[in-house]
Amino acid sequence: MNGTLSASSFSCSARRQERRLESTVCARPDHPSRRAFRKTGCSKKRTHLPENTPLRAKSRTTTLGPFGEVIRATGPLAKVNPFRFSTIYQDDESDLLMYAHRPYSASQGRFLSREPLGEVGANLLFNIGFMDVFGEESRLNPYWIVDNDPVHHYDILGLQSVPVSLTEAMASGNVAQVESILAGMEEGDAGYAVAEAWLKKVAQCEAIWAAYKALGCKGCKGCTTSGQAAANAACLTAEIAGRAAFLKLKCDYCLAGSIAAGSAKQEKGHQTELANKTAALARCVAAAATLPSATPPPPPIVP
Amino acid sequence: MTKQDFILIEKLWNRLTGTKFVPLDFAKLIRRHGGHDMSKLCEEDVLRLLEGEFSGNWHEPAFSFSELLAYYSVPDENRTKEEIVGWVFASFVIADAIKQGATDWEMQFNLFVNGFLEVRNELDIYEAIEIFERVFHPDEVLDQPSSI
Repeated sequence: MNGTLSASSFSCSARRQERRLESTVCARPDHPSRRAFRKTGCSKKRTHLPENTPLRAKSRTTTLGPFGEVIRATGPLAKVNPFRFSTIYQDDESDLLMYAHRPYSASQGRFLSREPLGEVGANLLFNIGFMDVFGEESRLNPYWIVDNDPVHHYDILGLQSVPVSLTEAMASGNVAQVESILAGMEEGDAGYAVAEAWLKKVAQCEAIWAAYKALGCKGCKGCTTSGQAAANAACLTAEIAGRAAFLKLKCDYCLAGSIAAGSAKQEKGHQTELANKTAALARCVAAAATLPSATPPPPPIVP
Repeated sequence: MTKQDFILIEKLWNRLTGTKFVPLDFAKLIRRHGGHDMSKLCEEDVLRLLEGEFSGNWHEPAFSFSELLAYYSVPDENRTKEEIVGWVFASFVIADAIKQGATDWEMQFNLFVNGFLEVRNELDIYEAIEIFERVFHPDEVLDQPSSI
């Protein structure tokens, strides 16, 4: 981390984004940069940086407006990390934020190209809006970002805005709340498709979790026949497959409760458990190969 | 879980965190650490496990606390004192679940030992010995007074 910022140091959440909008970013009080820049708390005051002072950590002060426009950016490392507003990569030469589907100009508060849906399938819909058929300003401006309401919406790809309340419900893994919000929405509304996909993923994760949890596999230490060991090995194989699917789907980041304890660490915990089960499976396979196929009969009792 | 186990957990909590041990808060914390894996156990269930009064299906705590042991065994530079006490409690529950036939040491041993390696610096040597005695010889420990 010396002198650079990783992309993971920024949050994808709208809540964090809002926090960034409200306050300037500053180094942590216990961070080495505090000594390098003689920085006091979060007061944004910096003393003169002596020449050739090694930059040992991040140091920047960035203030963004609601549309991602830079209001103030100071400090020697202000532009080191190219992942800026809403964790989107920003090209320094053109000053554009490169959303996955469309470049966005933060200084103008608009995308450079039209909403792709409008160009492909819903052109007529947008055109009706532009022609102002209803005698009012269209809300379907295809160059707008997040319905022109960045405080209450966010956008990941440059395609669709998602309401923050829906985001929060999804972040907390509250299925009932998401379903209730979704019930009050219409199919074309902002965030509808995202929420629907999220609900589908949660259902999938729950099903996988319940399936491998129900298996209750055991090891093969107590097995006396190869059949028993093979049965346990089959159970473990199914459990491992389920756990692998759980990890692949990143279920730790959408199921309720996972967020509270820190999903990344929980994910590592599940990886540890998966490795543990895999080792047990290897032992079971070895036992199945070496144990006799049937329990040997008890020795005859000699009178 | 016996009264001695409860006392050990309480003493550990008081020593490590410097705060008073409140069983209900501890149960809430354990559920939070367990996350989704603990969703089928309510706070009352965790409290019953803590007080040695759990009488339900042991497969549920066996699964949940096995996942919890795996969670605690993840190397973490910012490990909290609460997590250390949580590891001790999870180890005791797993030992009881093994005794009840809901799981076996072959599946849990590595998780237990890896977790121990993560928390050992925070444990007094006699506390560690008592935990090992309790976990691996539950029947013998039951009748003995606590050594701490």
